[in-house]
Amino acid sequence: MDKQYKNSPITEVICEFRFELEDIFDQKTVDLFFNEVKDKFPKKKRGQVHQVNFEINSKEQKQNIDNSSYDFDQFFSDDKKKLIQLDKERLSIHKLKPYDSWREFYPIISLVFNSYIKVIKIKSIQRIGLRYINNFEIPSSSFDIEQYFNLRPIMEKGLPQNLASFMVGTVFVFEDGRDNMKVQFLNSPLAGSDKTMFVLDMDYFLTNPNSIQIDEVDRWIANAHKNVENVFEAALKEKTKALFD
Amino acid sequence: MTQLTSCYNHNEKTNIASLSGEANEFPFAFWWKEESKDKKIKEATKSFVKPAESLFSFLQERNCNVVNKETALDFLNNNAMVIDYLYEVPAIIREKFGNVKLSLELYFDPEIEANEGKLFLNIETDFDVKKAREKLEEIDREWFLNRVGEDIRKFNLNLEFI
Repeated sequence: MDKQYKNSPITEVICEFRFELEDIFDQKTVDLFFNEVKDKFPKKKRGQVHQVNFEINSKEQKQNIDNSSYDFDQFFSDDKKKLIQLDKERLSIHKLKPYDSWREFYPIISLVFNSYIKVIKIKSIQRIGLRYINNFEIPSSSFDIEQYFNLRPIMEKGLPQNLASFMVGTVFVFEDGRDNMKVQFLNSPLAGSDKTMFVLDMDYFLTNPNSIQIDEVDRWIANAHKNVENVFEAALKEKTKALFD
Repeated sequence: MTQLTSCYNHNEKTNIASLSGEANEFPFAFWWKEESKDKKIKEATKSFVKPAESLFSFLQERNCNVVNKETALDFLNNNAMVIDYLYEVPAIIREKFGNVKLSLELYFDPEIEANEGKLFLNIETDFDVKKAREKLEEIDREWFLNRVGEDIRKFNLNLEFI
């Protein structure tokens, strides 16, 4: 979040683009792209996606399992805390913990996006996502959730008030439905007996394919960040935010 | 007032998703990630970091005890690249040492102030010292030394003789 916390809870920020391409994506495209970003992302690696597809034919009582995998490209910064994943029409920029600030992350998104559209012609933007994953701990194993969170399950009269665990999920609508933000908030049973760990996962995305043009991307991303930041600030009470300062 | 009271047994597998018989920390979140069959359009923005919580379940299923999950989790959140190594190495250890017990533990050097520690995967073996060291050297040669990332320096394999 852009309000800078000394001990930011962000474990990963991702900005991901999915395109429809005009040109053919090949190794030459990858090489040209790398040439554009290599000053900031000099380390290359191949990533791998494993896919398992099941096909069940009930008439013949046959089951086909297609187990396949394919490679894609990854480019890392020197400290390996920033990386790009390039998988044909999917491009993502990641910043791992420690997250510094939006002011530092945004120019990197801009560099990577502009490098991509420079080396390959795109037909349309299918989806953009800006996702913030936050992990933090409350230093207690038993507490009133009202004191810590504005985003929380509401248990009306008649329901038990003592919870062992909760998961809250919602999809918020922004910009008259052009954008959505999926927010998932849950506590993890992994923390020790004197602490409780929480995950606040916010994924802001373009709802409909082909609803913005290339020259609107900058504005879309800046707006997405503003909306994510507002929800983050509103979801947590000051008592929780004080834990990050 | 709604009270949250953690009541899990943190040292053992927790029987949360009792239908599957396996602890599953984030069933709702995982189920919700796929919004549409058209993955290109609707699938959630893909994270690079594999959740450390899933890693712990993966390791436990491979006969590996995680000592003090809380500090290990903090370490992994700060050193996400190490997570990949921990997904790879149990199969390599099994190939060389058989189906041995493993334990994952974070150690701190008391002489270094404010260090974040180093993660050790301990291999319990009944091989004699010479054979065990040979096997460990094979893992070093064939797997460990090929990993070029800086984060590999924060991770080590260790032998425990039983």
